[in-house]
Amino acid sequence: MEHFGAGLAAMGVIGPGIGIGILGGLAAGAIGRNPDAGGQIRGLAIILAGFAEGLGVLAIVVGLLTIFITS
Amino acid sequence: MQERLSDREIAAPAGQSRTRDRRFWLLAALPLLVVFDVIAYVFVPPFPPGQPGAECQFPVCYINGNFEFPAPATVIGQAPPTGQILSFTPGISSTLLTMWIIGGAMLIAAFFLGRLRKPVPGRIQNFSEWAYESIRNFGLSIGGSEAAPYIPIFAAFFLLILFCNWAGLVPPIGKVEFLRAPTSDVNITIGLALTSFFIFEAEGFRKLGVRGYLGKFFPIYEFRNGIGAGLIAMFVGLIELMLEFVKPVTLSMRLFGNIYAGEVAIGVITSLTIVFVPVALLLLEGMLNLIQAVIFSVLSLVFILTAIESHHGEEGHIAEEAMHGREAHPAPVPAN
Amino acid sequence: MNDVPGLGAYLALFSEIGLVLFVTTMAGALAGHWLDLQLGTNPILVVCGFLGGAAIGAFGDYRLIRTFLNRF
Repeated sequence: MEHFGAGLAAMGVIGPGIGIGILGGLAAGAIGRNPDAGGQIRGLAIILAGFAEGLGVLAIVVGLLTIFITS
Repeated sequence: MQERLSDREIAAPAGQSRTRDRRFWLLAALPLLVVFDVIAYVFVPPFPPGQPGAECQFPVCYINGNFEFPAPATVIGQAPPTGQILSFTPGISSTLLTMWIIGGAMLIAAFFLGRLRKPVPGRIQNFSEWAYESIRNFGLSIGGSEAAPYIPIFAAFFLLILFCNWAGLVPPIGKVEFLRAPTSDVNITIGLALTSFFIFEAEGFRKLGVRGYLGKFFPIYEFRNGIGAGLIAMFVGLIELMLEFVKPVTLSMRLFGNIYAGEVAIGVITSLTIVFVPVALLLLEGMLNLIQAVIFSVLSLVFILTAIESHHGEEGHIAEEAMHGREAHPAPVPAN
Repeated sequence: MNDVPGLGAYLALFSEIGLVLFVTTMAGALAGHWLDLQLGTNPILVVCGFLGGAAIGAFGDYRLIRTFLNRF
């Protein structure tokens, strides 16, 4: 049963994937429309992508913990 | 004025049978490859690992024959006990042997390349100079001009890890018993990450002194601003010290995970679809191995530069130059 | 490759953010589980270790991004 739980928890990485994809698309569009603000947009995009990726990592860790912690 | 024709153009003028020969042989080689695979399958059918001649069903037994376990095979010495995660059994494993072979070949090549000193370089000297200069320019664009003393370490990590990664894609090295890609073994990547860790810690201690380097983590002078600020600074410094030890763990796990997963993926795909599809995966793994070598060496260089910077005054200076290239902060021109 | 300055630095940062958070969270959860087995309080310390590890990992990511961007 733990393996089912781990699989369901690992499906939580869909959210950050969609989020980072939308963020990347909007950032590329914004840089294309206004290339002089490229540095600021790039910095903001990296920070927000880091947030979203952190949430995905938390989902993966919950999945791994259900397999390895049995008590 | 007529252009000078090369010998090849005189023999076969452009537009005629030259390109047709190359395309013709390429298209003829593909069915020959399929025929060769069919003949090999008829004469040497796949068998379960260890029992030549037994019958082998399509998905499961094929995958078992090509699967690579995380623990490497032992060449000299006794095999470690199975089932334990951590054990200490001294011996020489196949990954260690391959790493010695690759390292020895690199040392011999470097020795002979270093002796070429002609003022008008030949082809080999030209190529090696171009390779080292492009690695050097890449390192300098990451770290700025103060990274110049650490370029040999950067180049050494980059070339060693690149050749160790790419060795896993050369055909004999996955399947022969005593050869395996070195970085697909946890022990070797932990060793490389610990080497990088000791290098940047030692550089930090050497540049700033023991008290200066520890003063970066535990700023004693914050107690002047009050006991509360001092305690908060100490707590933050403790967390920073813990994060310092996370760095070699992430270095080793990233390298091991990428290379080992790549080897397993190539093995499974080759066992399931025997021709044409593994070529695409081999090229993808070649690119990913190059990127992993770049990431390891760039992170080692950035950690060295972070360890030797003097204090929190210029905290974001180094890697901001790394992000925005050298044109954001041009070197100040001395006025004379 | 030369028209994006610092491409290698971007690649390194991209993998480092996720991995630092992953390693600290797993280390915190496993340390909490080990302490649980010693002290007997079963699920509480695992969750505490998880959250603590995630907090330390988030702090490490903050310092990493600040070292790489120096903005805001």
